[in-house]
Parts: sequence; C-alpha cells; structure tokens
Amino acid sequence: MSAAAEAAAIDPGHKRWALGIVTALILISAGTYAYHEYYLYLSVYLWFGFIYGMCLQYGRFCFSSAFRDLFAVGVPRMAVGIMIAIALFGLVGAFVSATGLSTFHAAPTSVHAVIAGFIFGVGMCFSGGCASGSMYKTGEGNMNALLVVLSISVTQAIFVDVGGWTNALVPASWTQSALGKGLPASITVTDGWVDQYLAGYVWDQPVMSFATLFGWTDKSVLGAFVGNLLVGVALPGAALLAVVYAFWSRRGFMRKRVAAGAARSGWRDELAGYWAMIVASKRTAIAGLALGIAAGLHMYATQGLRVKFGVRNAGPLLERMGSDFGLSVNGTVFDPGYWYVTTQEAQWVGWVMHKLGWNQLDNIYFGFNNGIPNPLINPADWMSIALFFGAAVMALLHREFKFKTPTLETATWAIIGGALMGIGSRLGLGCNVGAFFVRVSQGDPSGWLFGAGMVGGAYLGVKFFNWWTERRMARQFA
Amino acid sequence: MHNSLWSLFAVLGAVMGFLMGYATAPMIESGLMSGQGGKAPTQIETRKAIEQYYKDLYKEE
Repeated sequence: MSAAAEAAAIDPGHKRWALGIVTALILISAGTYAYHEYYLYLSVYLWFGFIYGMCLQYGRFCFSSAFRDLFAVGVPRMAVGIMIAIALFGLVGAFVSATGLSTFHAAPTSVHAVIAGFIFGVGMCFSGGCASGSMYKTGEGNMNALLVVLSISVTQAIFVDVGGWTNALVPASWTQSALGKGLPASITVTDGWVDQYLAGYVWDQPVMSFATLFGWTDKSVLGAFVGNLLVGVALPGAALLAVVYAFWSRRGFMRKRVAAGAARSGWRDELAGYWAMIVASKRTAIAGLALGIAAGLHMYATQGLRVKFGVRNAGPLLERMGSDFGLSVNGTVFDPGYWYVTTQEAQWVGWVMHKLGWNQLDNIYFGFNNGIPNPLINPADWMSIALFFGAAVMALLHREFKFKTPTLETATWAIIGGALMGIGSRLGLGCNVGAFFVRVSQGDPSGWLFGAGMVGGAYLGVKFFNWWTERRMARQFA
Repeated sequence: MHNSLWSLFAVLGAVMGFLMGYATAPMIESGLMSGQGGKAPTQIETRKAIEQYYKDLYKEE
C-alpha cells in the first residue's frame, strides 16, 4: 500500500484526536511558560514523557508479554528486544555519564532486590502488564490496564505508611539501625514497616556500580564505557541472549537450515542463528534505542535547567512558585531527571490520602524522600500523564486505539497483580523500569538482582496462570 | 499515516530543539560545556520556614 493510501486509511476521527492531544500539550507548555519560566522544567518532563509513551507503544514494550511469550509459548522475540534495548540505552547512558551530565544514582545492592523482583514478576504476570506496559496499554484505550495502574498506585501509597501490627514484624536490629540514622522528628521512623525496612536495612546495604567495583568513577570514560557498559551490560547481556538462543531459538533455526540443505551445524551457523534471533526483534530494539536517546537527552535538558535556575531538585522551584505544600522535609520532591514510573503514581494517591486526613508526610518515602506535591505541578506526574497521551497518539495513528472494558475476572487479576507490583516496587525501590531497565543499563548491579528475581517470579506467574486456565477450561467442558 | 507521523516528528523536533537550546545556553555560560571547569550548584535550596514547619508538626504531636 502506498503512503498516500495508508494515510487515507486512518480514521479521520482518530487523526483529529491525535492532533487535538498534541495541540493541547503545546498550548499547556506555551501557556505555562508564558505564566512563569520555571514551568519549562515541567515541560521537559511533559515532552519526554510523551516521547516515552510513543516509544513504548511502538515497541510494544511490555515485560509481562515478553516473559509470557517466552515461558508459555517459547517465543523469545520481545525478551530479546528488551535485552537489546537495555544495551542501546546503556550505550547512550555511558555517553551521558562520561560527560558528567547523568542524573542517575545507583541503589543499595542486596538480596532485597531479588525478593522485590520476584514479587513484582509474579504480579505483572497476574495482571497481564508490567508497570510500563500497563501505561502504554492505558493509552491505547485498555481500561483493564488503567485498573492495573490504579492498583499499583493505591497499594504503594498504603504500603509505605502502614504501621500498627506490622511493626511487630520488624526485626529489632532494623529498628535500632533506623533510630540511629538521626532522621528529622517529623518522620516517625519506628512506626511503619517500610520506614524501618528502608532506614534500618536498605540504607545499610552497599551502593555500587560496575565502574566503582573496578576502582573507576562513573564519570570517567573507562568507568562509563568499560565498567558500566561493557562489563555491566554488554557481556552479561550477550551471555543471557546466548542462553535464550540455546533454549528457545536454536532448535527452530537449525531445523530450517537442515530443511534448506545444510549438512551439519558449525559455529558459523550458530552465529548466524544468534544474529537472526537478534534482528528478529527490530521493532522493540528501535523503540529501545529511541528510549535510550530520549532518556539521555532528558538527563541533559534537566541538568541544563537546573544550572539555569540554580537548583538540584524541583522542590525549590515549586516553593518559589508559591507551592510549598507537599515538599519533603528536605525541601525536595521526586525529580529523577529520567524515565521513571511508579513513584509518581504513588504520589498521586499519597496526595489525595493526605488531603483526606491520612498523614503521608510522616513516612520516609513521601515525607523524607519524595514529597507529595500537588499533582498539577508535580514534574514526574507531567511525565506520566504525557506518557499516556504519547501512547494514545501513536495508537491512534497506527489504528491500534480501541476502548476495552475489563470483565470481572480480568479486573480481579488486574487488581491482585497490580497490588503485588506495588509492593514489589517499594521493596525494590522501583519497578521494571526504575529498578531494572534503567539500573541495569547504567551499570548498577542491583538492577540485575531485581531482574533475576523478576524472571523467577514471572516464570512462577506464567506457570500458575497456565494451570489456572487449564483448570477453568476443564471445568467448563466437564 | 506516514504524513501524520512525519508531521508529529516535525512538531516534536521543534519542541525538542527549543528545550535543548534552552538547556544548553546555561551549560555553556556556566562553563560546564566549554571545558572551563564550571560546576553545577551543589546546595539544594531549602527555606527555613519549611524546616520550621516540620519541627512545629512534631511539637504539636
């Protein structure tokens, strides 16, 4: 079909919606900039969020689908695409780190990341979409995915502030260690399981990158390219792809070779098979490259504006604009400067709960680290809302937008899976994006630990779902 | 569809160009991109009143 014919094939209504969304975002950016220059900081999040949404929708970037395809039907294409996307993002990240403009901070590394990843992995298979996948699917009009997003958001906001009987489950050593951190009095560190988990356990774990393990800094060329990219991303990534090739791709490729008349398989055939597996994931890989470039530029633009406005966090900007409600005790708000998903989702609900009378500023997650600013001027919220719109515009232009309402059964699984992902996210300090995709690509070993747990959890989740489906079908046809 | 996509990319290119240009100017002015050893701000600004607000919260309890 020619380009003109394809253009004609777009539903005019869809085209109008796409145009309307883009126009509205331009007007918001221009209007707020005219009102105050500081809003440009939020517009950076908005437009990069829009691009992230476009990339996710184009690449069908869903970890849940990737593992379901791999473990349930033996199709590795999306899993391979995600691995390639991580490597390409890592390449861009290495450039950004080496120029000293990275806003990335490594997370504490310990077994907690594996456990968190496991819970998250089970949850994403139950719900049928990971944190990022559920966002772009919401943009495509899938209301089941919106339920997943809501479930993740609510669960996180509740989980980070639950105290009471859960305090009895906290080891005494965590409580003592948390008390020793000297946190501000407004943070009730001994009341809340997550507070004591964070201050009493997670903060005591080592923070490292592959670069620092070799004695380099993340900002050095050797550290960024050899330590974090080559050792931290490329080599383990290539090894993982080799495992995927051996277990899920090799047999089919060799069968085709033999059918085509090849006598026996040599190392050249194996390399050809490995390469064929990689290039089969073109769409996800292109999306990954675009995500990587966008995330790199996002860091750059954020740093530039921080220099211009003389801040290292958006908190003081919000304060200068006259909105000091919801800042953390340090005067900061969640402002990663790159792609992130779950924390801003928790902030939406945390803000609402606080307004309804549930004090959310006395816990570490909101009160000490991230704050709960008004969602209308929360920088990371602008990114997430724009991400929905970016995915929607891409889906509209690809004729893939369709409203889908959940059934009672899919809604139940969405809520259960979303709740597990919410808990896993807070235990692992991030989701499949923040705790895995970004960390691994920036050379943070804790990302691999989260990923290992996530693979295990996804395997269990897929097997459980297969069993559940077969049992249900057997009952229906009995 | 291709025309619509290219139009979208053109709009995004224009917006990105503006944002990146806006971010680059202070980088150059501060010496971060000119090799003159400029430094990004190292202090997070906090207002004393906010710190006091949280102290007062504790007192009320």
